[in-house]
Amino acid sequence: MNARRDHDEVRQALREAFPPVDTALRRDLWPLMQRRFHAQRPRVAWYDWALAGVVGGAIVVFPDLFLVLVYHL
Amino acid sequence: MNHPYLRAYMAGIVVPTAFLLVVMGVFCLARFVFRVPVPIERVIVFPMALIPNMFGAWNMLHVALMPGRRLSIGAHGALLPFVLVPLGFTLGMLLGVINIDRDGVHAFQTVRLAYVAAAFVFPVVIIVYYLVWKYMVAFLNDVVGIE
Repeated sequence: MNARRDHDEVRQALREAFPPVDTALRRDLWPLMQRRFHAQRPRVAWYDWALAGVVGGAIVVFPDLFLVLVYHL
Repeated sequence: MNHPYLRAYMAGIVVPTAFLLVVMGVFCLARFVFRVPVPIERVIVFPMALIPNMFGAWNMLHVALMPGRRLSIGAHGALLPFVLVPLGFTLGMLLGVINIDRDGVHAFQTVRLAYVAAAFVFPVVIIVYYLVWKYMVAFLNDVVGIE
């Protein structure tokens, strides 16, 4: 009985010492995240397609390049 | 939002960490299915430990630079191979998985690249990094709210 009362007193003392934490979000973050996901992405420039083609071509011409390339990624 | 460097680090490590599955898959297939004697346990430390952390740190550096002195994110990413390729090459030499002789570069006890082919490694890595940073890391930075 005494132990229970001691626990209650300690619990009460802790509650007084530490104010309750505000865990609620101040605003809903999901719509913001969704807007970012669905925002218009910049189109891939033609020269970037060309660069990707150069990479693909190099791997086709030198297949051994692939493992070395993977090692660096 | 706070903690811009933490967000930059987290956005930076996503691509190489996810791609690590591909790297592991390629090396495991080569080693255990096609019986290619690739010493995976020695080579995997570089893509697994170093590259993701370097991506994160490099993205933090991009955020830390003043906007006026900052390169575009693609160009910034294209500079990373200037650090990573010499590191990977040195580590490969030290671990005995990359050797050079008069025939060219021997890698992973399997690949033999003549000097002409080996000369393509560095530019190709730069191009891949440029594209990855311009489109993928930039997208992730945008998602986590980094300019």
